Amino acid sequence: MKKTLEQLNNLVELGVIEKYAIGGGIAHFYYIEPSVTYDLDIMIRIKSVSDNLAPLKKIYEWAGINNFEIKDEHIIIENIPVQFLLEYNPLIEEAVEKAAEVVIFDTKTVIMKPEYLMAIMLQTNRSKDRERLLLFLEQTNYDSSTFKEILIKFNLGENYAKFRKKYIDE
Amino acid sequence: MPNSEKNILMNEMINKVAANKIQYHISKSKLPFEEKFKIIISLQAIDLEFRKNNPHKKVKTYFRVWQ
Repeated sequence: MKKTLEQLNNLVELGVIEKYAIGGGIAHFYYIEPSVTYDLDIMIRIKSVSDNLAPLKKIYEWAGINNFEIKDEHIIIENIPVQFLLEYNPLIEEAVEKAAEVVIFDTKTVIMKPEYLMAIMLQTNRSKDRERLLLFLEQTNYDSSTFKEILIKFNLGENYAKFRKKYIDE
Repeated sequence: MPNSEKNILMNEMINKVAANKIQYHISKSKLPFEEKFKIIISLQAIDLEFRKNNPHKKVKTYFRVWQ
């Protein structure tokens, strides 16, 4: 993991990507009790996309130079399958912008904050998102006022009300 | 002991077990990430073992135990 994180930081230093933040399962398990996951989701910001049809082209070129294996949509970086995803909506953009700098395995890295991860789970709303959102509510010290602000800003208030009604208030 | 009292005792016991379980899971959420990482790797090994020869569970090309 340490080497994988170092490679991600290297991508920023090389200017291949402008910014990144860990999202998905690994970001969830940074805050809640861990469970099984097989990949590391990395949300990225790229300064300028030279090829609109292949925005991740430079990352794949970098992977090729470094002899990193490619398996479907994942690049295997130091034995960890990494999936790079462009910021695909305004909520993800803000989550990347405001992500927290942390140190794990003696390496600086960036992880999305819990309030944003919770909002993203509400937005994606798969069964595992709903399950993990309940764990976030139970296990983390998230900032409820920040979470509410995010819900209002990204029109997720109704989604959260429905979620609460179904799984918490019943 | 009357049944109503038995039920009350039973419910109290169930609530106590449930509360203990929640505390156990909360304590796991507070572990340092490096410790959680070891758990994730152990779970990957178990999960992949369960998926072997199980036609109901897919193994995607990138599934592997992280080192």
